[in-house]
Amino acid sequence: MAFLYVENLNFTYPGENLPTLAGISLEVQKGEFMLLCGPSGCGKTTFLRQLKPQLQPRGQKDGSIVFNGAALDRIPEKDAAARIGLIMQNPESQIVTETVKHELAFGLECLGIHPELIAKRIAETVSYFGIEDIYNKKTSELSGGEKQLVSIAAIMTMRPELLLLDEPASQLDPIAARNLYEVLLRLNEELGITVILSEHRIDDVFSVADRVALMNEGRLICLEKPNRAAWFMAGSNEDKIKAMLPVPARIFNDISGLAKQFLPDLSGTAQKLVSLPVAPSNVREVKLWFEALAAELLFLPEEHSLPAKAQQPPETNVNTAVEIESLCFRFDRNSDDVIGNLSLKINRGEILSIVGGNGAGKTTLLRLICGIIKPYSGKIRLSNTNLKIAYLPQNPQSMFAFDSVLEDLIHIEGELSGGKRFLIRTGLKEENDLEISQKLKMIIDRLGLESIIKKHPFDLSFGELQRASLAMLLLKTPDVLLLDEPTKGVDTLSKKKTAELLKSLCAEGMAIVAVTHDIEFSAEYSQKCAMLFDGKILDVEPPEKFFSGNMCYTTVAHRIAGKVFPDAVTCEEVKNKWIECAIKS
Amino acid sequence: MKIALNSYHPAVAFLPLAAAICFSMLSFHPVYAAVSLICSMTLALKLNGLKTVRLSLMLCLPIFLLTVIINTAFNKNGITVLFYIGSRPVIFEGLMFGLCSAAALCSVLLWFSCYSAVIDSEKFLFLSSRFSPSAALLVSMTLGQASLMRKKLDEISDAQAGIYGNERKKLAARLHLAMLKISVLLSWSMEDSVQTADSMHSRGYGTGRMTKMNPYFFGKKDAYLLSVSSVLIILCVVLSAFGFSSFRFYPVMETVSLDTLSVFGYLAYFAMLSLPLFVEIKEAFQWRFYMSKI
Repeated sequence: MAFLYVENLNFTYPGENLPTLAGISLEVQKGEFMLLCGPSGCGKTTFLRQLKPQLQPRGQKDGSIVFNGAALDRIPEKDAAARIGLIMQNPESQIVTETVKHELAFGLECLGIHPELIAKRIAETVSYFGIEDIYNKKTSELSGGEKQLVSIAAIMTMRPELLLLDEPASQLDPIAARNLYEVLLRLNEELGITVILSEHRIDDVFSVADRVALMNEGRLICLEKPNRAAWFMAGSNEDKIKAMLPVPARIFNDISGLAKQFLPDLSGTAQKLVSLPVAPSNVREVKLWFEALAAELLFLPEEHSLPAKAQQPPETNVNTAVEIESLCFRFDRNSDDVIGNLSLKINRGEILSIVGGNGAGKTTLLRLICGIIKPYSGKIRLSNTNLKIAYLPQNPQSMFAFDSVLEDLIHIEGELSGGKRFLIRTGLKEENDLEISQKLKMIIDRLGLESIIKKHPFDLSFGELQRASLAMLLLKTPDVLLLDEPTKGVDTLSKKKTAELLKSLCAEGMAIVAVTHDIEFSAEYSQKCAMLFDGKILDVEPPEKFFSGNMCYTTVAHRIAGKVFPDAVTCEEVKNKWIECAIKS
Repeated sequence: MKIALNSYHPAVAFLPLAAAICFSMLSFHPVYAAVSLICSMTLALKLNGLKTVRLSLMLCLPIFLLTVIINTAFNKNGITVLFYIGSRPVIFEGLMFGLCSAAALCSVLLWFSCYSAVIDSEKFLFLSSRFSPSAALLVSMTLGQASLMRKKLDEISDAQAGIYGNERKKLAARLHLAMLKISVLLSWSMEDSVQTADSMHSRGYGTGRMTKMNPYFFGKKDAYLLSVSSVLIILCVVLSAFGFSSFRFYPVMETVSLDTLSVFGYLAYFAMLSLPLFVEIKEAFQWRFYMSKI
């Protein structure tokens, strides 16, 4: 008997016509590391919650869940609380108490465990996780990554056998996310804890998972080992499934597809490479495979490895919107400069992405440009005095005051035009109160918000929420749009949608600055990239130049194909280069 | 600076300080008040260093002077007239009463500053959770929420500046924005608190009686300090019950009695109040002695 056995699970939320989960059957073996993925809204969260008796949503449910030989509903409450642990998305809100110490003890206290045993369990867990340095801190002083680590440690003190994680890394930066995955793998490998991890940014964990479960529209459509799952995703005819494919698998898929067209003409080695029985799925394997195949198939001209790129002509007709000159800022008289001597030009019609590590001062820079904080020296020169700057904060939740997206939009429009201003929760009562102006209608259409406009902001997915807040900012018709981490917590498809929107805004002459951790986003969609390090902008370059020079701080595609195509940084570019070369040979 | 009392069990460190605060508030006797003021000031200097000097100058001194002046100026209860200011008599008893109450007031302030240096919110929570674990959890959660909400408010302000611009606005517009801010904060926090509740339930909250983690150790030195302070406190309580700590100011101030029993009472009071200081000094010497051996 499997460790966790789900048979024909159906679930419908009250008041909904369509089931959220439809006929899900799966078995999870003890000690397995399972990755659960699917486009947002596919029912991942609902499914995970079904596995945790305390958090099962109300609704119509049938089918059976058997946990370790006993029906899940029959397991005593305390047992179920301790043996099945759940970690949620938001690092902030799942922390209950004020201090790390108390947080670690909380679950054990709830279970009524003897104080001496609590102390011992905590000591053991803290040592295992190596979090002695934050043990005596307050929870509010921790970073997001540390908070998630504390949440996991707090659950581990209860000695769970099954760990459920609902997008635990979606709010974290890539370094913290990788850290979190490492901890999970360690728990899985060293302690044999069964892990079910739901995630939409799957690149980092895809190849290390034992199996990948793929969900779409409430159904389990694939449950396979990673490489086979990748093959399944690549073969899917739905864009949202295809979009999830991790970069290594995508390159493997694209290139082997291209090569297969000439299969009969290929040499023996090449044929073998193209039709591998087990597709590689991590960077190392795909890189080796790619280089071997390239050596076999492509006649790379010698100078290709050193691209003799024409000297880029100095840009003549740039239209600078904001010019920053030796900007300096610090929070405190005695502290170090967060921004020190920074100079930067923000041009119209360009997406400028600024990458940089944690605490590099990315958000501070945006706040300076926006004028929320003032520099102690240096200048921010606007090209004209009534230049409008709009700023999208990291958490779009901070922008919604009303009960529906439409109310918020109408309110902001009224506010910005200085027209009528209605009071909170008394303003809009009837349908015909909601007069949608021409401008608002255009923005709603453009952002595809029609279907979500009547919903409460907190019922939206993170990607939808972000687009709704972008709509609010567009009402201002800004000349400069500042975005703080626009891809955080957003799934791949939403990311693409947002990026396309930004591109079209840019084409209309808006200047867009995005600070981000997301290298892939920055490589794919920006015209200029810059790195913020030590309070300074090092250099501003187009992405293919910016990332092709780097060895580790670069895109996955470049890490795989960089040796062969030194100036390709996205999957698309790698594919195009390959076609170019293949035609040549 | 390292505080020696922090190495004791919170209950043991709490007792002498709480007793000092209570006695300073309740006893009204020139000698007692003077002893309390001296002890509290020395201990505060030892525990908080420069901060105490600032507190004394900025807060205690003005309060002291104000109390004395107000009492001397408006208190007409005594009969010994010192001199006249205009037609207003300045009365000796009033002056003494003012001095005594000013000393008591300042010493209570200083005792509280010592208390907060030793008993932080975590220790207080631990002590109060003995009586009600759920109340302690509530306080802990509230404190955690408070800092989270402050962070959210800052973010909301930024978001508003990002959309409405940050030039200075009219009062009506500012009020309106402030109301919006609160509305955003409320719905955002409520949304998050649903998740907090989920997190609590998923960890077994509400499945039965809660226990309370005990991160503190009760050792031999705790037992010593506890017994000494208990004996001294009981002694002082008994002496007060017999009226040794009360003093008559009106209509004529009595003289400070110096018979054996009274002096014993003063000494006991001094011993009780200087106990925390004694602990601090003892540990400091112990450390110095230990260092000199190395």
